Amino acid sequence: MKPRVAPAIFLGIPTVFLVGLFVLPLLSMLVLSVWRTENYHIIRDFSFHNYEVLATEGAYITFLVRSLVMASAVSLICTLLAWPIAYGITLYGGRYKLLFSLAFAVPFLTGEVLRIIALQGLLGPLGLLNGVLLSLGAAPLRVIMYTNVASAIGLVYLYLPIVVTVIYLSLLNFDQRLIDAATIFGASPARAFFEVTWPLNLFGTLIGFALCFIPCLSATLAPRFLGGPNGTLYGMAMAQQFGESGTWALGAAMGVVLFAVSVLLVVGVARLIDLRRTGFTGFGRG
Amino acid sequence: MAYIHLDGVSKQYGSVWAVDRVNMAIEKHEFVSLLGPSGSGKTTLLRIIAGLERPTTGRVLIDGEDVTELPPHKRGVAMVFQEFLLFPHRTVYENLAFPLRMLKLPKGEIEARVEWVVGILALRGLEKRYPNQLSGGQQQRVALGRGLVGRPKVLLLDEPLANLDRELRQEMEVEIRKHQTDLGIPFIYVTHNQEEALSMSDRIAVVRGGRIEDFASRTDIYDRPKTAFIAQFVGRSNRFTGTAATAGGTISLSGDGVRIETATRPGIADGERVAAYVKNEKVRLRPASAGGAGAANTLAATVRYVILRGAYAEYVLGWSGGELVASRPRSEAEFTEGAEVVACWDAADVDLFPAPEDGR
Amino acid sequence: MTKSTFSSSDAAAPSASPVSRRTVLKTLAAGTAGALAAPYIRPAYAAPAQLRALMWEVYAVPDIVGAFEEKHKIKFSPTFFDGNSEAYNKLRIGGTRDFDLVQADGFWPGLYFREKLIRDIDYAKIPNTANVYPVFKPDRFKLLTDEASGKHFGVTWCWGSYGTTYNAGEVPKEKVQTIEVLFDPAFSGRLATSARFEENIALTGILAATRLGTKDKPRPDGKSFNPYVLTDEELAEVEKLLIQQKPLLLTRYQDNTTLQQLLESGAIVAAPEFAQVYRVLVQKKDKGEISADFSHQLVPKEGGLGWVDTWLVTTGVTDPATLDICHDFMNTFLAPENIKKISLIAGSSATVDLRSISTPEEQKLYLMDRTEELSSMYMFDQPSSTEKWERVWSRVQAA
Repeated sequence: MKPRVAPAIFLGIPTVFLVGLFVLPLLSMLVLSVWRTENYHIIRDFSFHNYEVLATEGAYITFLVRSLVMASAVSLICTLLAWPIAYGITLYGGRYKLLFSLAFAVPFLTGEVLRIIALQGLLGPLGLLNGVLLSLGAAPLRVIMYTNVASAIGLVYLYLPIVVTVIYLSLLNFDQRLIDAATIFGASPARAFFEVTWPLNLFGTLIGFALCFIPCLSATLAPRFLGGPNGTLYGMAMAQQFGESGTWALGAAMGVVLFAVSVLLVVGVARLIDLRRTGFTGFGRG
Repeated sequence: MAYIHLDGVSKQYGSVWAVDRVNMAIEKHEFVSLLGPSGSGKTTLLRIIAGLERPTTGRVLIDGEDVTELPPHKRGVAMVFQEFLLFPHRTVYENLAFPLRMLKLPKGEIEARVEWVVGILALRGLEKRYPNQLSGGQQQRVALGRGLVGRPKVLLLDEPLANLDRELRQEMEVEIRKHQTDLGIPFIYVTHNQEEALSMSDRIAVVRGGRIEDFASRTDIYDRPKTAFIAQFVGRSNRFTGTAATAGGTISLSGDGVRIETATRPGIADGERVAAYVKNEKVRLRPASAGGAGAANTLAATVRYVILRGAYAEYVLGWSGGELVASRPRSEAEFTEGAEVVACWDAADVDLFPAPEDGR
Repeated sequence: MTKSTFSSSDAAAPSASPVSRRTVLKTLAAGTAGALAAPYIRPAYAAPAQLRALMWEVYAVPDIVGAFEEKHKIKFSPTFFDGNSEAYNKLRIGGTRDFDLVQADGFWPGLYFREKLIRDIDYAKIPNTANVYPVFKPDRFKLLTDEASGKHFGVTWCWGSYGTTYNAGEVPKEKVQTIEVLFDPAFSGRLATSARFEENIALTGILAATRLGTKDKPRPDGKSFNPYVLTDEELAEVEKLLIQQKPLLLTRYQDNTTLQQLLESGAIVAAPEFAQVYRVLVQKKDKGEISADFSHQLVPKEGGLGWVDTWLVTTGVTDPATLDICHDFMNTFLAPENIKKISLIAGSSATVDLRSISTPEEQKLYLMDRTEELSSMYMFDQPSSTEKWERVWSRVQAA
């Protein structure tokens, strides 16, 4: 019998890809996290010391809590902003719909660093906002200069396009005539939204939320460039372990913890949500 | 005053009038079909009644109330959609309960009403399923049940059977008509399928180019078409064209070896181009050996194909003017392919209209 | 998400100034990937017609390099890095075979030598080393000489401090003469420090030791005071001071452009830096582009931090011909006209005496008369325990 090549290729390539780019780095992180460093040298002594440090040292817990609060707030703001934007495009985009959705992809073409630096310029002391305020004779807005608010603005700016795109795609797949059906059967437009539009786009909204939440949880650039002295977030602290301080093993443990927290959150949400109730039909007709 | 009243309703999209000055009066116990080809504006008209579209001009009255400005959810109407449009995230039970919840009925009442509809539509045992776990016919019955459960003032049906196969469709036709009779509320049924319209309706409105071509009982629409379009569109007919010649109370047209004669009617002048329609089932056949081929409303032909349609046989005949179809009960004498026959019809069965300039 | 960590720390690097020290250490990812890939990557074996250098990009001045290539009929092929640790990692995974010359500063040359990544060199073959200021000669500058064998392994070419640049109209001169100015509530919200944890801790360490009175007392290691070797007591004091300082800081700047904007706009009035922003601001003032007057306090009275950039030769260089070319390259680099050109481009002070070929303004701006002050500075060094220092830094950030 001839070996079937096509399935092997189609399944094999993603498998190699996943193993190579995801499983292997994760495994190396796991291994590294149970070793330790000493002045830029990795000492291969097995212990859970790094995890003990993370669990007992308040600083790292503070970073994680800060990051969780920041990620939640940013994701919520992004979702709240993205819904009307995406909905507006589907309703009024007309024949420019495609153009609009492509326009949202444009920021992805520039690097994240560039965008953050651009924003730093916008929010900074000589930035557009404060420049205008200063020329009007007002004091610069300290609340957006190197604060957590500035970080949040930066993160919203970074991830809003993703959330809009995901919710837009969800709405595009959503049969708008179901709203007709709901109103015909007595639902006011607002009621129809909560009975039909919201639940049927909940899955897409959650994906958008998660695609914002998870990178925000590990955000390093926005807090670093915008966050100021009190703005250190978990991801930024973790990057410091790999960067400046060379405490790679502790950083690896932080990475493992972050991964575990992210997975737990996703699993937790997935268990709370009945996919069937979001119109998800990937179960077949069973 | 009629229960539902459309008063000069028009709808303009850009420069196109999708619905053009429609006046209709529908009684409370009527089953009315809006019959027309696709793009004729019949669905737009239905959506105007539902409140999903706002008419450019004109008024819609339901049960004496002007609802033109009312949004759909305040009109007390219900609708069954061609694509069913069941809520995919809700079970059958929840889909059926939806209109009742919107009416804020007490829980017990909701249960009782859903139970009733589950009963009459044979949906028992499916209550906990999701729409994508149902067959097409089951989904259709849930959609119908959702339309009936709230006891609407009127049920609007937008080609509800178009996605079902033929057998199921005929079953559903009977069922739909039965529920309409039982409930005693008007059904307005949009279809492009004349068989559906004819099988269920009390009255049929034939829609063409946004206008009502005729609104009359189904027998009138079928037997006494008021326009060439209706004659063509409703039923299956044979068409002859020629020049009218009036003489002594009859009007006749000749050509291609046949002379068609019928009683004169107003509006057709001597020498005018006309089209004559004879329904397939009005054409009678006898063997050529029986003779009489030269008379009016008679022609000699050869059987080309015989198509069996259950109780009927459809004969496709070749004659000097082209093809002619005769539909005869199987109980009559049968002809085989190649047989020489004489086809004839009664003068009263000829529908005659001025022929449009394009010769159709 | 782990990936984003790696990429972002990489990505942040270009924003750091080229002369800044140990800006971003090479990431674990690169290390692991490099370690995995190393056996499969064909090392660029020394082609005789090539001189390969691992260096900061800003110092690769084309006409100097071009002239050198012309002279030796050789191809100079540089590879650039952003931080010492990146270079360190490259060398550790086999880079000694891929590079002949490497740049580093502070304690790194010593570390490289101990790990046998670089080799000893002969100052006699680099005549221009004779022209360096006395303070950079081996008898006074100990960082490039092996204590045990007395072998030399590096050539200095530029230096700098971590002094305080301040707005002279806002901050009185006497206040800037001490590190205390960075902890002075009078300037609350109008101060900034760099985001680099080592220098934050080391500079504060000088202040902490001064306040505790431990700076000039006998040290546990028996050596003289080094702000990079702090006792636990001093570290605790540093932590306390840095936490007290936080509300006074507008931000910790990541790059020189940001610092320049902060100072220029008046958002802050004082910040420690490598004097590069100070030079930019003075030049702008001279051109009339800004009106504020900026000054630079090179060494605070408690003591300050300084750094010296060096050229090193890797242990991969074994044959005398290549070693000669390396020697000559370093010599060419140190030639006064060349090092002046490099200084002006990079904005750093040269270790070679250039006063005879410089204008008075250049002499002032590039601190040519103040080289001696380097001897009073504590050299950038490796924290005695990066693990302890990291903990202090994390606590400060979380506070």
